[in-house]
Amino acid sequence: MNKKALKLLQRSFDENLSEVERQSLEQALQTSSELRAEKARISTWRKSVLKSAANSFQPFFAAKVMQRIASLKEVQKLESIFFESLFAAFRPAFLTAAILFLTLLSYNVGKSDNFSIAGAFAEPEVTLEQVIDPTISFFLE
Amino acid sequence: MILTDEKLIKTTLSGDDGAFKQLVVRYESRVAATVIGMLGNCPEAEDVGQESFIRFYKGLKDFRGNSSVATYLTRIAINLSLNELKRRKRRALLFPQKAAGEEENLPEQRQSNKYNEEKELIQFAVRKLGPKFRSVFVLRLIDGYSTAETAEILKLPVGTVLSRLARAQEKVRKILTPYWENK
Repeated sequence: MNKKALKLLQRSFDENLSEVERQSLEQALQTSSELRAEKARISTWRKSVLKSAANSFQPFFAAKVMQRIASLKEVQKLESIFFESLFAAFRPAFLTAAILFLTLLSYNVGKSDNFSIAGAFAEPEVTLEQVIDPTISFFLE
Repeated sequence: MILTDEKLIKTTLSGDDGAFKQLVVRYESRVAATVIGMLGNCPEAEDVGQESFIRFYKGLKDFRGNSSVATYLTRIAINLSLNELKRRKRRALLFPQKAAGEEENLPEQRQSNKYNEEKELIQFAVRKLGPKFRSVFVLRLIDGYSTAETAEILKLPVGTVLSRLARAQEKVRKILTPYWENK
């Protein structure tokens, strides 16, 4: 059997052959009974493979899928309830803490007359002497 | 009246899960052909099949309809099947005994020359293929997708699909020829 023709035949099942290749294959099929037999064998083999496909899972497959979806939705609902409850429980505590914090900051600013972040957090004021390193004066002199 | 996939998806998204069940029934055979083709007829195949539909359900609101539902589901099924094959390989390294669906040889009683369970023979031969050859073989020859569709599902160039397909077919035919010649 012509190897080139056999290769073309095998390719023809999965690829679009060019016009030249298609005509070459047709000619080879007309002249070679062996090639025609091989074409029939390949066609039969491929049909068998296609027929071998499973067409279902175990019984009640759809019902099992829907049951899993229902469970999933139940879990999501419980999670949502949990986080909503958590938020509802902690919201008063959070608001109280926020109010207390702001009150403290306002008190600090008012007490120190220092309208700054440092003043709000009651940080001690930094003096000029603390900023300038006194040891520098040795080098300047 | 037979509802279109689009209508069933819209109905599901509006809260009617019964519509989704119709989609499951409609595409069970398609997903089964892919998953059982890839993994063999085993309990893991059923799990992967179910998971394919669960993933589809979870991603329904993002489904834009650029591909058909069949192609979209098949893509999910193939990816989950390939993940399962990777898991099997890791399990085999830790626990070296053959997983269900990956038998080395046909059982003795089936090796008779008179054995004519063609379907099991083909499935046995397909399971001898490595994952990347198995996936193109299953999609093209078992699921019946065109070469272009197979390439689209696997996100591979058509040339790669053709080359893997040729090698896969050669290997499967080599395994099956002795059985067919003795029929």
